[in-house]
Amino acid sequence: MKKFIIAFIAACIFIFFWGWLLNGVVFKDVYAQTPNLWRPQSEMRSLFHWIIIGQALVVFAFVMIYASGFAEVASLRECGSDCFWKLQPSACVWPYTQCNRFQEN
Amino acid sequence: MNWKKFFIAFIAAFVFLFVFGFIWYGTLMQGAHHEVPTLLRPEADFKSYFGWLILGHLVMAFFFTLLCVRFVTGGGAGANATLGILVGLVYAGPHLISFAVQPLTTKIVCGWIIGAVIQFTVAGAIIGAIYKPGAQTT
Repeated sequence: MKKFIIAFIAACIFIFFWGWLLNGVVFKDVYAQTPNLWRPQSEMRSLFHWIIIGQALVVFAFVMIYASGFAEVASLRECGSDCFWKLQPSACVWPYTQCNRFQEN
Repeated sequence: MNWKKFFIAFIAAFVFLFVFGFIWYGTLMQGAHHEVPTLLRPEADFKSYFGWLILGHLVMAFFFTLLCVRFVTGGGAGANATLGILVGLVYAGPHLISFAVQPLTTKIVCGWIIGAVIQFTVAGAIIGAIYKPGAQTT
């Protein structure tokens, strides 16, 4: 849980600065060419919290996917395909406990 | 990986995503979309971009199927539906951000978010039902 929170905060910070750099700086002039597609600056500022909530939601779901099984499967692949395919599919949705079981054997 | 089952699951996911998209976004939300005509392409213009619509659905279906097949090793409809909920929530974030920067209505953004979660949950269940754990043979 502690690592989850740290990963979540780190990813939030990265996503926020990357979003600002790419959309707020690099593409600023491109967006300025289509003003009818965007809210006025003052309106955007008043809705800024939705940007934060949206980014937090992306990061939360992404870290959940990673923490729920992606990391374990990726690490299993590194130990060899034989190890990977021997996992019992009925044991669990995600391979976390399967991995432990395999290691016990 | 069982490529035959992967391909069948991919096609099934593509068909579902496309049909659901047509019903949800193109039919049920049509009225809501008409409230922001300046944000969307005109009907005639849209038809000439239809190829991009197909390509977008192919990309979503391919990578979502890949994600389900390679990383939900337990398989099954339930497990893949759970992954679908999370992927749907990943899509929900950009919709909220779009709401902050584009003049979308609350009805549209709520419809998009609910649509994305339902779409990927059901698509995950379909993929899980087709690409069963038994398919993972050498």
